[in-house]
Amino acid sequence: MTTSAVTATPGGEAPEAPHASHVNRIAVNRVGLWLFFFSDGLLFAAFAASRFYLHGTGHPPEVKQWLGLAITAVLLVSSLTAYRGETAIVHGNLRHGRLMLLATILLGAAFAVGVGIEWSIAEWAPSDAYGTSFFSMTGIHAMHVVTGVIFLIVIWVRAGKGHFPVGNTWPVTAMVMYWHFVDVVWVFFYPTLYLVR
Amino acid sequence: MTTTTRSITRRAAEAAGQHLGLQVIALLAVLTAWEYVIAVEVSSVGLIVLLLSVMAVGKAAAIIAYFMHLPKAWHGEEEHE
Repeated sequence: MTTSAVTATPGGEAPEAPHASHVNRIAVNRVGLWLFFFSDGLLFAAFAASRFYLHGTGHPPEVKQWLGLAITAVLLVSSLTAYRGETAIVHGNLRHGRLMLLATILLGAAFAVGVGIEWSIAEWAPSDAYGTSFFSMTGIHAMHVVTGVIFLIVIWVRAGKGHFPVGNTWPVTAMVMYWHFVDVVWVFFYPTLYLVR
Repeated sequence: MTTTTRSITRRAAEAAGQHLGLQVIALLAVLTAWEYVIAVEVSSVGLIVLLLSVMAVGKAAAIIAYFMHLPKAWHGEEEHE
């Protein structure tokens, strides 16, 4: 063993490798997040494929197009506010960044409420071929949205406490990337559930 | 670089980033509206599936490239446009 060999710290934690600079850590974090998106994306893709397997390309005439379009618009706008919030915080404009994150939280909550309304007025049973797909797809997607809202609140609170100075904003970027991922999923789910016929 | 210069540069970069966000959301809005029109107006199921698929991929690509900073997936810096 050479003298440069890594040894354990007194606390028993794995020591940081000499080359693991801040930049490298962010790069590894970023790639890890993309790998998560890829694996989670496969789950959503499986749900979308099952919708066509179970019900073909049609959808019930009772589908509320106005509601689907409304919640889609809400989620797309929330992606803009999330992006603006991240951009502001990365460049040190904390006040505007927190305002935009708060808007994202409210829009995310509005989307979840919209899905709840859709569930409450749906005229198809969960046991139907379309209902199985619809409730599964919107349910697992809404779960991701609610999770995102919870963590956006955490980021919003921490930003208020000054935890993200310029140059140390990776948690904000990661959270906002997750939010955009949820939006990307809905970009495919919206036509799959509401528009294809 | 002085503090004032750095502040001005940062604000200019932030403004450019915000402008890019507006351009992307405008594109997403137009594509979503077209999706709706296609679903209502086009009668061929095959054509609907094809067009909606292309538009969904286009929307996803715009979000992934500009909002999720995919080109920076292999870099460590946090600053973006």
